[in-house]
Amino acid sequence: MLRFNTTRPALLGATLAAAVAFGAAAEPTHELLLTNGDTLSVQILEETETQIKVNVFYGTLSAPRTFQRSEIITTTALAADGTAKDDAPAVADTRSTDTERPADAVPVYAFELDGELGWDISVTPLRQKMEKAREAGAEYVIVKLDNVRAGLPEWVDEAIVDDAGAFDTLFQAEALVAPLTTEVRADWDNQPTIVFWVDRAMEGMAFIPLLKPDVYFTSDGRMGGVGDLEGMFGSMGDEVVRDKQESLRQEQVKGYAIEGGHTTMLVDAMLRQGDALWYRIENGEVRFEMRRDNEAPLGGGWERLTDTGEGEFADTDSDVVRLRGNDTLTLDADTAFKIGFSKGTADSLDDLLFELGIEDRAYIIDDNDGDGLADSADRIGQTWGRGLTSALRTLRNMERDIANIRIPENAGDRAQQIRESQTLRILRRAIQLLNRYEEVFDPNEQWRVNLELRIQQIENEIRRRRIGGGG
Amino acid sequence: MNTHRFINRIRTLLGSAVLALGVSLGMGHAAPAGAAGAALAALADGSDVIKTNDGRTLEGTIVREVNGYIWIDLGVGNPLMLRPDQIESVERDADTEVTSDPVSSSADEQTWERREGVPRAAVITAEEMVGVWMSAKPLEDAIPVLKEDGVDLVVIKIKSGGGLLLEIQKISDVIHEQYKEDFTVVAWIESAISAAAMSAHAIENIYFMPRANYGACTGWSGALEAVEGRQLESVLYMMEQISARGNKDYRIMRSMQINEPLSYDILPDGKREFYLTDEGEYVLNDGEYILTLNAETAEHAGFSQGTAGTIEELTRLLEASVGEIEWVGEKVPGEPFPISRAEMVHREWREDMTRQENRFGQIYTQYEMEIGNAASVPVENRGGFIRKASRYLSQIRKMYDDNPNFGLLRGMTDEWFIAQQRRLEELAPAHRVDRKERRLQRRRPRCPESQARRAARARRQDRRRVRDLAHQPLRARRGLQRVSRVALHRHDVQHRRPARSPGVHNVYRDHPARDQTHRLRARPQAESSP
Repeated sequence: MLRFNTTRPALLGATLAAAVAFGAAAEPTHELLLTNGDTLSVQILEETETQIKVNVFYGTLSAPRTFQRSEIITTTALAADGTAKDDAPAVADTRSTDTERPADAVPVYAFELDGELGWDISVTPLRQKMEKAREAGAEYVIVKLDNVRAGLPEWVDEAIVDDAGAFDTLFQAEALVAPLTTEVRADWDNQPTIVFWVDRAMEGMAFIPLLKPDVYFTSDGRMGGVGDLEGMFGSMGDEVVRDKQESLRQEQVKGYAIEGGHTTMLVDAMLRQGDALWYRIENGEVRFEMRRDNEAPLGGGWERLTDTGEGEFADTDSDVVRLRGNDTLTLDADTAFKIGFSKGTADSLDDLLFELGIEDRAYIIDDNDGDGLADSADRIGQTWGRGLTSALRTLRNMERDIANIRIPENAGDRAQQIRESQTLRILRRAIQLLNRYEEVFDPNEQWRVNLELRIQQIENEIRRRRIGGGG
Repeated sequence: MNTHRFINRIRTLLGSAVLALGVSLGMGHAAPAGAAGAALAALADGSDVIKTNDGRTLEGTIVREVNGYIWIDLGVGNPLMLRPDQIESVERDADTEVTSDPVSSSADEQTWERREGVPRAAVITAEEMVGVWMSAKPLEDAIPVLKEDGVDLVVIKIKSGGGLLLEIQKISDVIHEQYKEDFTVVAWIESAISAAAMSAHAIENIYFMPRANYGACTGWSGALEAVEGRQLESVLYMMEQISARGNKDYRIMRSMQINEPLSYDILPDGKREFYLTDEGEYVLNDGEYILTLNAETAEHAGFSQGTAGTIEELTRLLEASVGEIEWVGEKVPGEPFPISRAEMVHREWREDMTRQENRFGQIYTQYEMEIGNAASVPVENRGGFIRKASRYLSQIRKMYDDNPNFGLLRGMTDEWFIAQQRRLEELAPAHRVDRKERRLQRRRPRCPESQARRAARARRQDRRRVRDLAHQPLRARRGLQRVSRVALHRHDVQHRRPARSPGVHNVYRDHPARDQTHRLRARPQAESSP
């Protein structure tokens, strides 16, 4: 396996050379998009592992400034006329412009979807990672799935949590489908092979590996936790409407399985109790059979995947804590491989590349830290996570900040004016954050609408005071 | 056509130049000279010339005539319409055939060429909630655009989780009565749930995407309460009729609506026979379930004509039945199919609807807020608030007018708008809400009567002051308003007093406020002077 590890001094030298060359003209050479939403025209002076030192241009003036890499979302090279080059690779990708890559190398871009679905795992960072992979010309995109179950602290043993009842996280996972399927078909000139490498794909994330035929597990990998679809609506409303709701959800997930070339019976077993799923190998092929009772189908060699979960077949606490429950299907590495859902088990990237049969030609893109995962993808994930945490803190403290606005003692008649202008600033900042992280905090814009109303109320009040009438 | 328009434009400019020359030579002869010059040039080149009553000569191509009204293409922008009473004479020479058909703008000019025997196809998308985003109106609006683009085959790509029952019949009617009249129609399903499936059911040829779903058509409201009784029967009956339109077995839709079993056999000729029991060889619904088809079951049951995940796969499937096709629209990076103008109609519609849905609450609250603000201040200060409220009301009205279902979803009617208009008028009796009136108000000088009154008062005061100050020293006269100074000057002239220093005149001339201040200061001086 080859690793693309362009040495940093070489890069730094090249960048500095470019900076010096452009410095003579005293013009911006790059455009930085920062996590606070600002876009700056800059000339890059110096880069380190964690920082970029630049000259920031404001009109004809410029001033040096240093940014942490975590503050920067993208860095785009500018064309001579000052416009962003359409196909110019970002600075991070300059590292990926591989001059040493052998002609027969298979470029592999690997990244992880880790953390909580709907928080760390979200459509924007996924889209950015896929875009990086496209820009780097990846032929294989390896997506390692390792999500944390919602509301479950990492120190809690997942075995004590029931696998049933988290079906509606489907609608959080649904947002991830397009960047992995439709958008790849539309955006990529050469279609990559997308490989899902399952460590933890629980709850909504369990639907994602269904989308592709190339699925691998780690040896303790698990996928499921979406059982008991029938119990989702309890006794609410009329049964026929509950049936409808279950039907459309079930068929949506079956659609994913069809797209990935997997049997839809697995979906039935993952989602519903009441039927028993069996399998056996016939002529080298896996054959499934679903039964309404717990009797094995006719003929020998049948292995049970799930039972009906009724009476004596209901999972006991003993089964659950030992991860042996089978009222609904949660796949582990062994079972997934036996039934042909997974193509293999790999605990390291090298093993996975070996399983994929490209270990001698694989060229790991953008992996300077040697962890097997693309550094740019790591940065995207970290920036997103930190940004969310910081935004949440700001948004949580918003009311407190408004209540605690400090008014100088000598403000006199201007006290009200100062309070209002600072309140407006806080509210506008909150709207900016909600715009950036709308998919997590405010998907329906309602929060922003309320904040805008508050802003308008304050502006009206100011206007009323100033002119004694409406604006 | 473009060349013709360009030549016309040049001719018009030349005509203008001749006219300009005429003007510079002398007004009395300008128009005839210009007109004659233009007319001659035009006739020589084969254009139509219209002389108007106001003396203009317009040269171009007459493109439409209806009852004496004439539309003339001057080569710049859209054709100009002239009323019969504006026209003095018409001289025709252009070869263009004049019809009474509506004039098409330059943007509508045909920029495509049909390849012999190759149908032109376009993809349009019907997405999101039926009755709001997926609606009959944009489908109707797209028809003329599809015709202009010479489209023969329309692929309606559907991705919707359902919506309003009342829109199903409307969409079905537009598809069946308008689309099928003019185009071959194909549905390409990404997801068609509930009302979306029922709306698409009138289309005979249906293709699925690999992860598509279609069905779950049970009507409900509130807390998952099912539609029942006569209303349910009417919906079942409606769908029987729509199934017939789409040449589909009604049993399929019935099993998607209520808990009825559905199975089928494949007959020797390949056709499928459906049963509302589970006795057929292939069971789609055992009766304890509401049917939703996926790509596999739909294709096996003969419901879909095939499965296509990409436009290329769909093209292959379509070309197997209709031969080679040519896609209309532009290839846009990141878009999975060519984007046609008709598709843009749909996208713009959905953007408008999204804005409406997201912003209606805000606009309505802002409207109420401005009304509240207006009510909380004296009548004379309400103008700004009421203007804003009126603006928000107009925005709500636009939403109401744009989307036929908007009012229905929010309980708004024409009467509601009339009531709101009255509310605004009552808040400010003098305030006229309509825009024209506001514009007039802006042009009109503010409070003309009081201005006149003020002027009269100033004159009276001047006379008094002139009388009082006539015999005072000059410095006491500083600070008088201009009008007073003029009057005083007149008085001086009459009484042969020397003229005052110009500096004193100029200092506050254009500064009434300071002038006033100075006057207040000056007065005691004047009073204290001997």
